[in-house]
Amino acid sequence: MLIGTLSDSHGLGQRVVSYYLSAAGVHVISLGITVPPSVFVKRASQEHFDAIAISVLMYRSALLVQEVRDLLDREGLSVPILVGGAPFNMDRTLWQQVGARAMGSNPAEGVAMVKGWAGLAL
Amino acid sequence: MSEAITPLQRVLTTLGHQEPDRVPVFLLLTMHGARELGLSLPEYYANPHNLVEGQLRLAEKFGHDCLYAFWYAAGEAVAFGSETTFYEDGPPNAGEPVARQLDELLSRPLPDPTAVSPLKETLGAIQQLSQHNRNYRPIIGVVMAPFSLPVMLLGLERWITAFYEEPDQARRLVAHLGQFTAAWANAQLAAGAHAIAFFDPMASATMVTLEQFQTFDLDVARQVIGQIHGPCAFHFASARAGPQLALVPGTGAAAVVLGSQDDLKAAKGSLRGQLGVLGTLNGIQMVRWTGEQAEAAVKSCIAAAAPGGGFILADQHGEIPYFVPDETLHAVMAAARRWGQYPIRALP
Repeated sequence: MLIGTLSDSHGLGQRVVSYYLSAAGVHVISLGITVPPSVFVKRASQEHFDAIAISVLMYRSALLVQEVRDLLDREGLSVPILVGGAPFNMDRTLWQQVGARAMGSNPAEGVAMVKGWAGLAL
Repeated sequence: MSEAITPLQRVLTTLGHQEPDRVPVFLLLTMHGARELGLSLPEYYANPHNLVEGQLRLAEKFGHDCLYAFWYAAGEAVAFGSETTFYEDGPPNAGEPVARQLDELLSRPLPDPTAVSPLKETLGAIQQLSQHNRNYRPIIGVVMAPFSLPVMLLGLERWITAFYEEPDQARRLVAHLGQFTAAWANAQLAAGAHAIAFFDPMASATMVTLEQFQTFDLDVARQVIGQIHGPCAFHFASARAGPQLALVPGTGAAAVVLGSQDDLKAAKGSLRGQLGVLGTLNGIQMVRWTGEQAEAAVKSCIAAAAPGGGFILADQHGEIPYFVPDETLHAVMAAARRWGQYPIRALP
Protein backbone atom coordinates (compact mmCIF):
# COMPACT_ATOMS: atom_id res chain seq x y z
CA MET A 1 0.00 0.00 0.00
CA LEU A 2 0.91 3.64 -0.44
CA ILE A 3 1.11 6.02 2.52
CA GLY A 4 1.98 9.68 3.02
CA THR A 5 1.27 12.90 4.89
CA LEU A 6 -0.82 15.07 2.62
CA SER A 7 0.36 18.66 2.26
CA ASP A 8 1.41 19.29 5.85
CA SER A 9 4.65 18.41 7.57
CA HIS A 10 3.42 16.51 10.63
CA GLY A 11 4.74 13.06 9.83
CA LEU A 12 4.69 11.11 13.08
CA GLY A 13 1.23 9.62 12.55
CA GLN A 14 2.03 8.07 9.17
CA ARG A 15 5.31 6.68 10.48
CA VAL A 16 3.59 4.94 13.37
CA VAL A 17 0.90 3.55 11.07
CA SER A 18 3.60 2.39 8.62
CA TYR A 19 5.35 0.46 11.39
CA TYR A 20 2.09 -1.25 12.39
CA LEU A 21 1.29 -2.15 8.78
CA SER A 22 4.76 -3.50 8.10
CA ALA A 23 4.66 -5.54 11.27
CA ALA A 24 1.34 -6.96 10.09
CA GLY A 25 2.90 -8.13 6.83
CA VAL A 26 1.70 -5.33 4.57
CA HIS A 27 4.20 -4.00 2.01
CA VAL A 28 4.26 -0.24 2.59
CA ILE A 29 5.67 2.45 0.33
CA SER A 30 5.90 5.84 2.03
CA LEU A 31 5.91 9.11 0.13
CA GLY A 32 6.96 11.02 3.25
CA ILE A 33 5.62 14.41 4.31
CA THR A 34 4.26 17.52 2.53
CA VAL A 35 3.04 15.31 -0.31
CA PRO A 36 0.84 17.14 -2.86
CA PRO A 37 -2.31 15.39 -4.14
CA SER A 38 -0.83 14.92 -7.61
CA VAL A 39 2.10 12.92 -6.26
CA PHE A 40 -0.19 10.36 -4.62
CA VAL A 41 -2.00 9.96 -7.92
CA LYS A 42 1.14 9.79 -10.07
CA ARG A 43 2.58 7.03 -7.87
CA ALA A 44 -0.70 5.14 -7.78
CA SER A 45 -0.86 5.19 -11.57
CA GLN A 46 2.56 3.51 -11.81
CA GLU A 47 1.74 0.29 -9.96
CA HIS A 48 -1.16 -1.44 -8.25
CA PHE A 49 -1.88 -0.59 -4.61
CA ASP A 50 -4.64 -2.13 -2.53
CA ALA A 51 -5.06 1.10 -0.59
CA ILE A 52 -3.74 4.63 -0.14
CA ALA A 53 -3.38 5.77 3.46
CA ILE A 54 -3.36 9.53 4.01
CA SER A 55 -2.37 11.19 7.27
CA VAL A 56 -2.97 14.86 8.14
CA LEU A 57 -2.88 17.14 11.14
CA MET A 58 -4.17 20.40 9.70
CA TYR A 59 -7.79 20.85 8.73
CA ARG A 60 -6.85 22.45 5.42
CA SER A 61 -4.91 19.30 4.56
CA ALA A 62 -7.88 17.08 5.42
CA LEU A 63 -9.96 18.91 2.83
CA LEU A 64 -7.33 18.14 0.17
CA VAL A 65 -8.16 14.43 0.41
CA GLN A 66 -11.09 15.20 -1.88
CA GLU A 67 -8.64 16.45 -4.49
CA VAL A 68 -6.73 13.16 -4.30
CA ARG A 69 -9.99 11.25 -4.75
CA ASP A 70 -11.04 13.40 -7.71
CA LEU A 71 -7.67 13.01 -9.43
CA LEU A 72 -7.70 9.23 -8.90
CA ASP A 73 -11.19 9.01 -10.36
CA ARG A 74 -10.10 11.07 -13.35
CA GLU A 75 -7.34 8.54 -13.95
CA GLY A 76 -9.80 5.66 -13.60
CA LEU A 77 -8.14 4.43 -10.40
CA SER A 78 -10.59 2.97 -7.89
CA VAL A 79 -8.03 2.36 -5.14
CA PRO A 80 -9.67 3.11 -1.75
CA ILE A 81 -8.38 5.88 0.52
CA LEU A 82 -7.93 5.37 4.24
CA VAL A 83 -7.51 8.58 6.28
CA GLY A 84 -6.33 9.35 9.77
CA GLY A 85 -5.35 12.31 11.91
CA ALA A 86 -6.69 14.88 14.33
CA PRO A 87 -9.35 16.53 12.13
CA PHE A 88 -10.95 13.16 11.46
CA ASN A 89 -10.91 12.25 15.14
CA MET A 90 -12.61 15.54 15.98
CA ASP A 91 -15.29 15.26 13.31
CA ARG A 92 -16.21 11.60 12.90
CA THR A 93 -18.04 12.18 9.63
CA LEU A 94 -15.37 14.28 7.93
CA TRP A 95 -13.84 11.26 6.15
CA GLN A 96 -17.11 10.78 4.29
CA GLN A 97 -17.16 14.43 3.22
CA VAL A 98 -13.74 14.21 1.56
CA GLY A 99 -14.17 11.03 -0.45
CA ALA A 100 -12.33 8.53 1.75
CA ARG A 101 -13.44 4.89 2.01
CA ALA A 102 -12.83 4.83 5.77
CA MET A 103 -10.95 6.43 8.66
CA GLY A 104 -8.73 4.83 11.25
CA SER A 105 -8.76 6.45 14.66
CA ASN A 106 -5.70 4.43 15.68
CA PRO A 107 -3.08 2.27 13.92
CA ALA A 108 -4.78 -1.02 14.77
CA GLU A 109 -7.97 0.11 13.06
CA GLY A 110 -5.94 1.11 10.02
CA VAL A 111 -4.27 -2.29 9.81
CA ALA A 112 -7.61 -4.09 10.02
CA MET A 113 -9.09 -1.94 7.24
CA VAL A 114 -6.16 -2.32 4.86
CA LYS A 115 -5.81 -6.08 5.38
CA GLY A 116 -9.51 -6.48 4.77
CA TRP A 117 -9.34 -4.53 1.52
CA ALA A 118 -6.30 -6.50 0.39
CA GLY A 119 -7.95 -9.80 1.21
CA LEU A 120 -5.30 -10.66 3.76
CA ALA A 121 -6.05 -12.66 6.88
CA LEU A 122 -6.52 -10.48 9.97
CA MET B 1 -27.26 45.47 21.29
CA SER B 2 -26.87 47.38 24.57
CA GLU B 3 -26.09 45.27 27.62
CA ALA B 4 -26.05 46.21 31.29
CA ILE B 5 -22.44 45.36 32.05
CA THR B 6 -19.26 45.38 30.00
CA PRO B 7 -17.72 42.19 28.64
CA LEU B 8 -14.80 42.61 31.05
CA GLN B 9 -17.19 42.84 34.01
CA ARG B 10 -19.07 39.80 32.69
CA VAL B 11 -15.91 37.73 32.40
CA LEU B 12 -14.54 38.78 35.78
CA THR B 13 -17.86 37.94 37.42
CA THR B 14 -17.95 34.45 35.98
CA LEU B 15 -14.28 33.80 36.78
CA GLY B 16 -15.18 34.79 40.37
CA HIS B 17 -17.64 31.86 40.23
CA GLN B 18 -20.67 34.12 40.28
CA GLU B 19 -23.41 34.36 37.68
CA PRO B 20 -23.22 37.49 35.48
CA ASP B 21 -26.06 38.70 33.25
CA ARG B 22 -25.37 36.04 30.61
CA VAL B 23 -22.81 33.42 29.68
CA PRO B 24 -19.72 35.17 28.26
CA VAL B 25 -18.60 34.06 24.80
CA PHE B 26 -15.03 34.05 23.51
CA LEU B 27 -15.00 33.72 19.73
CA LEU B 28 -11.29 32.97 19.41
CA LEU B 29 -10.93 34.32 15.90
CA THR B 30 -7.57 34.92 14.27
CA MET B 31 -7.66 34.41 10.49
CA HIS B 32 -11.12 35.93 10.15
CA GLY B 33 -9.42 39.28 10.72
CA ALA B 34 -7.87 38.98 7.27
CA ARG B 35 -11.30 38.54 5.72
CA GLU B 36 -12.53 41.67 7.52
CA LEU B 37 -9.64 43.64 6.06
CA GLY B 38 -9.97 42.21 2.56
CA LEU B 39 -6.52 40.62 2.75
CA SER B 40 -5.21 37.18 1.90
CA LEU B 41 -3.80 35.30 4.87
CA PRO B 42 -0.17 35.81 3.75
CA GLU B 43 -0.88 39.53 3.33
CA TYR B 44 -2.58 39.68 6.72
CA TYR B 45 0.26 37.95 8.54
CA ALA B 46 2.88 40.15 6.90
CA ASN B 47 2.02 42.96 9.31
CA PRO B 48 1.18 42.33 13.00
CA HIS B 49 -0.60 45.67 13.19
CA ASN B 50 -3.39 44.10 11.12
CA LEU B 51 -4.25 42.33 14.37
CA VAL B 52 -5.57 45.61 15.79
CA GLU B 53 -8.09 46.51 13.11
CA GLY B 54 -9.00 42.86 12.53
CA GLN B 55 -9.86 42.22 16.18
CA LEU B 56 -11.75 45.49 16.60
CA ARG B 57 -13.89 44.81 13.54
CA LEU B 58 -14.60 41.22 14.59
CA ALA B 59 -15.64 42.27 18.09
CA GLU B 60 -17.91 44.95 16.65
CA LYS B 61 -19.42 42.52 14.15
CA PHE B 62 -20.14 39.60 16.48
CA GLY B 63 -20.36 41.31 19.89
CA HIS B 64 -18.47 38.59 21.72
CA ASP B 65 -16.66 39.11 24.98
CA CYS B 66 -12.94 39.31 24.25
CA LEU B 67 -10.24 40.66 21.98
CA TYR B 68 -7.85 37.89 21.01
CA ALA B 69 -4.24 39.00 20.79
CA PHE B 70 -3.03 35.68 19.39
CA TRP B 71 -0.95 36.36 16.28
CA TYR B 72 0.26 32.86 15.36
CA ALA B 73 1.93 30.08 17.30
CA ALA B 74 4.86 29.73 14.94
CA GLY B 75 5.80 33.33 15.81
CA GLU B 76 7.48 32.00 18.95
CA ALA B 77 9.52 29.57 16.85
CA VAL B 78 10.51 32.47 14.59
CA ALA B 79 11.86 34.23 17.67
CA PHE B 80 14.18 31.22 18.06
CA GLY B 81 15.30 31.38 14.41
CA SER B 82 12.69 29.28 12.61
CA GLU B 83 11.17 29.99 9.21
CA THR B 84 7.40 30.16 8.76
CA THR B 85 5.21 28.63 6.06
CA PHE B 86 2.16 30.72 5.21
CA TYR B 87 -0.99 29.31 3.61
CA GLU B 88 -3.90 30.85 1.76
CA ASP B 89 -6.45 28.92 3.81
CA GLY B 90 -4.95 28.00 7.17
CA PRO B 91 -2.75 29.19 10.01
CA PRO B 92 1.00 29.66 9.51
CA ASN B 93 3.20 26.70 10.40
CA ALA B 94 6.71 26.61 11.83
CA GLY B 95 9.32 25.50 9.29
CA GLU B 96 12.14 23.03 9.80
CA PRO B 97 13.25 22.54 13.42
CA VAL B 98 15.89 25.05 14.52
CA ALA B 99 17.82 22.40 16.46
CA ARG B 100 18.28 18.64 16.44
CA GLN B 101 19.90 18.33 19.85
CA LEU B 102 18.51 19.53 23.16
CA ASP B 103 21.96 20.87 24.08
CA GLU B 104 21.79 23.27 21.15
CA LEU B 105 18.74 24.91 22.67
CA LEU B 106 20.09 24.79 26.21
CA SER B 107 23.27 26.58 25.22
CA ARG B 108 21.55 29.28 23.21
CA PRO B 109 20.53 32.60 24.81
CA LEU B 110 16.78 32.93 25.07
CA PRO B 111 15.17 35.52 22.80
CA ASP B 112 13.99 38.79 24.33
CA PRO B 113 10.31 39.07 23.34
CA THR B 114 10.48 42.86 23.46
CA ALA B 115 13.33 42.92 20.93
CA VAL B 116 12.73 40.12 18.43
CA SER B 117 10.25 39.86 15.53
CA PRO B 118 7.40 39.11 15.30
CA LEU B 119 6.90 39.22 19.07
CA LYS B 120 7.90 42.87 19.55
CA GLU B 121 5.49 43.92 16.79
CA THR B 122 2.76 41.83 18.40
CA LEU B 123 3.37 43.71 21.65
CA GLY B 124 2.93 46.97 19.75
CA ALA B 125 -0.36 45.69 18.39
CA ILE B 126 -1.53 44.76 21.90
CA GLN B 127 -0.69 48.29 23.06
CA GLN B 128 -2.81 49.73 20.27
CA LEU B 129 -5.65 47.32 21.01
CA SER B 130 -5.52 48.35 24.65
CA GLN B 131 -5.70 52.05 23.76
CA HIS B 132 -8.78 51.48 21.61
CA ASN B 133 -10.38 49.06 24.04
CA ARG B 134 -10.16 51.10 27.28
CA ASN B 135 -10.81 48.04 29.43
CA TYR B 136 -14.12 47.31 27.75
CA ARG B 137 -13.32 43.75 26.66
CA PRO B 138 -10.67 41.49 28.17
CA ILE B 139 -7.64 41.22 25.88
CA ILE B 140 -6.36 37.65 25.79
CA GLY B 141 -2.67 37.04 25.11
CA VAL B 142 -1.19 33.65 24.27
CA VAL B 143 2.00 31.80 25.10
CA MET B 144 3.13 28.31 24.22
CA ALA B 145 3.94 26.34 27.37
CA PRO B 146 7.62 25.41 27.75
CA PHE B 147 6.64 21.73 27.52
CA SER B 148 4.93 22.29 24.16
CA LEU B 149 7.28 24.83 22.58
CA PRO B 150 9.97 22.17 21.80
CA VAL B 151 7.53 20.54 19.36
CA MET B 152 8.15 23.51 17.06
CA LEU B 153 11.84 23.92 17.92
CA LEU B 154 12.91 20.26 17.69
CA GLY B 155 10.04 18.49 15.93
CA LEU B 156 7.53 16.24 17.67
CA GLU B 157 9.39 12.96 17.14
CA ARG B 158 12.67 14.33 18.47
CA TRP B 159 10.92 15.80 21.50
CA ILE B 160 9.07 12.59 22.38
CA THR B 161 12.26 10.58 21.89
CA ALA B 162 13.96 12.78 24.47
CA PHE B 163 11.49 11.68 27.16
CA TYR B 164 12.93 8.17 26.87
CA GLU B 165 16.56 8.76 25.91
CA GLU B 166 17.44 12.05 27.64
CA PRO B 167 14.91 12.61 30.42
CA ASP B 168 17.20 14.82 32.49
CA GLN B 169 18.00 17.04 29.52
CA ALA B 170 14.31 17.19 28.64
CA ARG B 171 13.46 18.44 32.12
CA ARG B 172 16.29 20.99 31.92
CA LEU B 173 15.04 22.24 28.58
CA VAL B 174 11.49 22.74 29.87
CA ALA B 175 12.81 24.71 32.84
CA HIS B 176 15.09 26.73 30.55
CA LEU B 177 12.31 27.63 28.11
CA GLY B 178 10.03 28.47 31.01
CA GLN B 179 12.02 31.66 31.56
CA PHE B 180 11.16 32.75 28.04
CA THR B 181 7.50 31.80 28.46
CA ALA B 182 7.13 33.90 31.62
CA ALA B 183 8.91 36.87 30.04
CA TRP B 184 6.75 36.69 26.89
CA ALA B 185 3.55 36.43 28.93
CA ASN B 186 4.52 39.33 31.18
CA ALA B 187 5.45 41.47 28.19
CA GLN B 188 1.96 40.91 26.78
CA LEU B 189 0.38 41.82 30.11
CA ALA B 190 2.53 44.93 30.33
CA ALA B 191 1.41 45.89 26.82
CA GLY B 192 -2.24 45.70 27.86
CA ALA B 193 -3.39 42.08 27.82
CA HIS B 194 -5.65 41.18 30.74
CA ALA B 195 -5.05 37.43 30.79
CA ILE B 196 -2.91 34.77 29.19
CA ALA B 197 -3.89 31.54 27.47
CA PHE B 198 -1.17 29.04 28.40
CA PHE B 199 -1.24 26.67 25.40
CA ASP B 200 -0.03 23.24 26.44
CA PRO B 201 -1.32 20.54 24.08
CA MET B 202 1.65 18.29 24.94
CA ALA B 203 0.31 18.14 28.51
CA SER B 204 -2.83 16.40 27.31
CA ALA B 205 -3.82 12.78 27.67
CA THR B 206 -3.86 12.72 23.86
CA MET B 207 -0.09 13.21 23.81
CA VAL B 208 1.48 11.95 27.05
CA THR B 209 0.77 9.78 30.04
CA LEU B 210 -0.15 11.25 33.39
CA GLU B 211 3.27 10.19 34.66
CA GLN B 212 5.06 12.00 31.81
CA PHE B 213 3.00 15.11 32.50
CA GLN B 214 4.07 14.96 36.13
CA THR B 215 7.68 14.18 35.31
CA PHE B 216 8.37 16.76 32.62
CA ASP B 217 5.76 19.49 32.82
CA LEU B 218 3.79 20.00 35.99
CA ASP B 219 6.39 21.60 38.26
CA VAL B 220 7.65 24.01 35.62
CA ALA B 221 4.09 24.90 34.57
CA ARG B 222 3.34 25.75 38.20
CA GLN B 223 6.50 27.88 38.47
CA VAL B 224 5.92 29.71 35.20
CA ILE B 225 2.25 30.41 35.88
CA GLY B 226 3.31 31.67 39.30
CA GLN B 227 5.72 34.09 37.65
CA ILE B 228 3.10 35.47 35.25
CA HIS B 229 1.63 38.69 36.59
CA GLY B 230 -1.96 38.00 35.59
CA PRO B 231 -4.56 35.24 35.33
CA CYS B 232 -3.78 32.27 33.10
CA ALA B 233 -6.04 29.77 31.38
CA PHE B 234 -4.46 26.33 30.99
CA HIS B 235 -5.31 25.47 27.39
CA PHE B 236 -5.16 21.91 26.04
CA ALA B 237 -5.62 23.22 22.48
CA SER B 238 -8.10 20.63 21.17
CA ALA B 239 -6.50 17.69 22.91
CA ARG B 240 -8.14 15.65 25.67
CA ALA B 241 -7.28 16.79 29.18
CA GLY B 242 -8.10 13.37 30.63
CA PRO B 243 -6.67 12.57 34.08
CA GLN B 244 -4.28 15.52 33.82
CA LEU B 245 -7.26 17.78 34.49
CA ALA B 246 -7.27 16.95 38.19
CA LEU B 247 -3.77 18.44 38.53
CA VAL B 248 -4.47 21.71 36.70
CA PRO B 249 -5.84 23.56 39.78
CA GLY B 250 -2.45 23.01 41.40
CA THR B 251 -0.69 24.95 38.66
CA GLY B 252 -2.25 28.21 39.82
CA ALA B 253 -4.22 28.68 36.61
CA ALA B 254 -7.47 30.59 36.96
CA ALA B 255 -9.26 28.64 34.25
CA VAL B 256 -8.92 25.67 31.95
CA VAL B 257 -9.91 25.14 28.32
CA LEU B 258 -11.05 21.59 27.72
CA GLY B 259 -10.97 19.46 24.60
CA SER B 260 -14.18 18.50 22.86
CA GLN B 261 -13.57 14.86 23.84
CA ASP B 262 -13.63 15.79 27.53
CA ASP B 263 -16.82 15.58 29.55
CA LEU B 264 -17.69 19.24 30.09
CA LYS B 265 -20.37 18.59 32.69
CA ALA B 266 -18.20 16.28 34.75
CA ALA B 267 -15.26 18.68 34.54
CA LYS B 268 -17.36 21.62 35.64
CA GLY B 269 -18.68 19.59 38.54
CA SER B 270 -15.25 18.54 39.74
CA LEU B 271 -13.70 22.00 39.30
CA ARG B 272 -16.58 24.11 40.62
CA GLY B 273 -15.25 26.99 42.72
CA GLN B 274 -11.63 26.15 41.88
CA LEU B 275 -11.20 26.90 38.17
CA GLY B 276 -13.21 28.62 35.53
CA VAL B 277 -14.00 26.33 32.59
CA LEU B 278 -13.95 27.29 28.91
CA GLY B 279 -15.18 25.28 25.97
CA THR B 280 -16.12 23.14 24.25
CA LEU B 281 -17.58 24.06 20.88
CA ASN B 282 -16.05 21.74 18.29
CA GLY B 283 -14.26 24.02 15.82
CA ILE B 284 -13.87 21.32 13.17
CA GLN B 285 -17.54 20.39 13.19
CA MET B 286 -18.38 24.10 13.28
CA VAL B 287 -17.24 24.43 9.67
CA ARG B 288 -20.32 22.54 8.48
CA TRP B 289 -22.87 23.47 11.15
CA THR B 290 -26.29 24.66 10.14
CA GLY B 291 -27.87 27.38 12.27
CA GLU B 292 -29.86 24.70 14.11
CA GLN B 293 -26.73 22.66 14.82
CA ALA B 294 -24.94 25.74 16.13
CA GLU B 295 -27.82 26.46 18.48
CA ALA B 296 -27.92 22.84 19.67
CA ALA B 297 -24.18 22.84 20.38
CA VAL B 298 -24.41 26.10 22.33
CA LYS B 299 -27.36 24.83 24.35
CA SER B 300 -25.53 21.62 25.15
CA CYS B 301 -22.49 23.47 26.52
CA ILE B 302 -24.62 25.92 28.49
CA ALA B 303 -26.70 23.15 30.05
CA ALA B 304 -23.54 21.25 31.00
CA ALA B 305 -21.46 24.02 32.52
CA ALA B 306 -23.12 27.42 32.83
CA PRO B 307 -25.18 27.14 36.05
CA GLY B 308 -23.43 28.85 38.95
CA GLY B 309 -21.06 30.86 36.75
CA GLY B 310 -17.44 29.91 36.26
CA PHE B 311 -18.01 29.21 32.57
CA ILE B 312 -17.10 30.88 29.29
CA LEU B 313 -18.40 29.50 26.02
CA ALA B 314 -15.54 29.06 23.53
CA ASP B 315 -14.20 26.70 20.92
CA GLN B 316 -11.93 23.92 22.14
CA HIS B 317 -8.95 24.68 19.91
CA GLY B 318 -8.19 28.32 20.58
CA GLU B 319 -8.45 29.21 16.91
CA ILE B 320 -11.68 28.95 14.94
CA PRO B 321 -10.96 27.59 11.44
CA TYR B 322 -10.84 30.03 8.56
CA PHE B 323 -13.59 28.05 6.81
CA VAL B 324 -16.22 28.79 9.48
CA PRO B 325 -18.68 31.25 7.90
CA ASP B 326 -19.89 34.43 9.55
CA GLU B 327 -23.45 33.09 9.57
CA THR B 328 -22.40 30.30 11.92
CA LEU B 329 -20.62 32.71 14.25
CA HIS B 330 -23.71 34.91 14.35
CA ALA B 331 -25.79 31.81 15.11
CA VAL B 332 -23.49 30.91 18.01
CA MET B 333 -23.82 34.40 19.45
CA ALA B 334 -27.59 34.49 18.99
CA ALA B 335 -27.97 31.15 20.73
CA ALA B 336 -25.70 32.22 23.59
CA ARG B 337 -27.75 35.38 24.08
CA ARG B 338 -31.01 33.46 23.93
CA TRP B 339 -30.18 30.48 26.10
CA GLY B 340 -27.34 31.85 28.21
CA GLN B 341 -29.25 34.45 30.24
CA TYR B 342 -28.81 33.92 33.99
CA PRO B 343 -30.37 32.30 35.85
CA ILE B 344 -30.12 29.45 33.36
CA ARG B 345 -33.53 27.92 32.75
CA ALA B 346 -34.15 24.31 31.89
CA LEU B 347 -33.19 23.98 28.24
CA PRO B 348 -35.46 22.03 25.89
